[in-house]
Amino acid sequence: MARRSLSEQTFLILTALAAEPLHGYGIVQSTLALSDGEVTLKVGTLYGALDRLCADGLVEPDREETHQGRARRYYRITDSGMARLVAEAKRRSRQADAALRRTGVVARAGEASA
Amino acid sequence: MSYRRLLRVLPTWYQERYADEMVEVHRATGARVGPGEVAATLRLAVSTRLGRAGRPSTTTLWFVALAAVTALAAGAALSTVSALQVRLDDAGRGWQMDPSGRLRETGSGWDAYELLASVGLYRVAWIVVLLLLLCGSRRAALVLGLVTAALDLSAGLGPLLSRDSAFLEVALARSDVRAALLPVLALGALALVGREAPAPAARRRAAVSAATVVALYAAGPLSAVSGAMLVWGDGTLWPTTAVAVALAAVFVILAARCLDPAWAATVFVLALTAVLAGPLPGTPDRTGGPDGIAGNVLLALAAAALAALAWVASTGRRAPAHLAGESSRRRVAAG
Repeated sequence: MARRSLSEQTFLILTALAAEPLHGYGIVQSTLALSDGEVTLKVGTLYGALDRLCADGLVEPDREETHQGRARRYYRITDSGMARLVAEAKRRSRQADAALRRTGVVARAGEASA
Repeated sequence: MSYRRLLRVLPTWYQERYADEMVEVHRATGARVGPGEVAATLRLAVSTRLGRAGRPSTTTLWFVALAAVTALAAGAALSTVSALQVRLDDAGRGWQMDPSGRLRETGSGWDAYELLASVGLYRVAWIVVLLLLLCGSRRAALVLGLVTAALDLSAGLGPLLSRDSAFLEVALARSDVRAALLPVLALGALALVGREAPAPAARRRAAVSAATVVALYAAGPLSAVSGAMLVWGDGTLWPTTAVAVALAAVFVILAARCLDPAWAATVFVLALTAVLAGPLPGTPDRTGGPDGIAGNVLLALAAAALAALAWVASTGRRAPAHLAGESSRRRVAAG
């Protein structure tokens, strides 16, 4: 059975965690930067996605730090999370390439540069 | 509305674990509590209560399969006993015409093969499926259950596929389709259980099966309670209603505090199945008239509502298994 593709928000969260473990606010900032300001995660959405990703074994809690008297929980991507992210990135890349070829954008861009 | 107040819709275990962190993140983003945040938090409240973001736990799947197969096995056992009684009653009434043209009593009214054939051999196999589940053999139970259900379904669909289907009563065809819901539910639950997932303890498996038998036994008298029996001497319903509501509240509180959420989830699934499929095998079929149908549907809906309440309340108190060991992870004080 085909595996369900990741939602855009989940994809961005995994991408944000691929570089280094992050805490909640760090993930919100990173996804905002990765999406060029298009995706602002709601806090409820972020923690719902983290709950699902933890349950699926794609993300796990890394450590807790105390920052200005408040606890910050860091999350990190697991090996299976990294494999899933790579597979999803390749799938999205193939689809994007196909769409650009079909619409002629890639060919026109090639002609312009020549 | 403050964000911390909004977080009160989340389960208790979730608030204890994440509320401070979520408030911190929300404060850092500098956003106001708008409709989008309210909707996201409400979605989170639902998904955390349904467990693993909406997916049933392995224990729930095992319980649903056990309860459904117990109901099927109970139905098969009752059919067999009933057929056996009829044959025993008729045992001495076998008659044969002798060469002189007189009727002669033979006393051989039945045999074992004829008895099993009349009940349906495939239905008796549900008892074996139940025994396999009680022993913890999920795969063997699934294989035998699939064969049994296939035979059951083909027997039900036989008239539909034959040339005489034009004469088939619509009510009978509908009844066959509804009867397939319980096997589909049992086998679907078994198939969804992960191959590596451990079975619940033998004692819990036996308890679910026993509880199902008790519930099926109790369903008979309960479904016989009509509206007229609830009316008191002065013609009012409220004293009975008050007692029923109080008993229901006690059930929900006890279930939420004492039982695994999987129990309430199982009752919820089975009650909804009873609404769709009619009386479960083993329970008295009182669908003869509109009153009977309405009574059964109301009973199943009430059970579903109570179980849903108990389920929501109980899942709010317990952290899911994948977070159970998190407290042992390392803490770093960064100042």
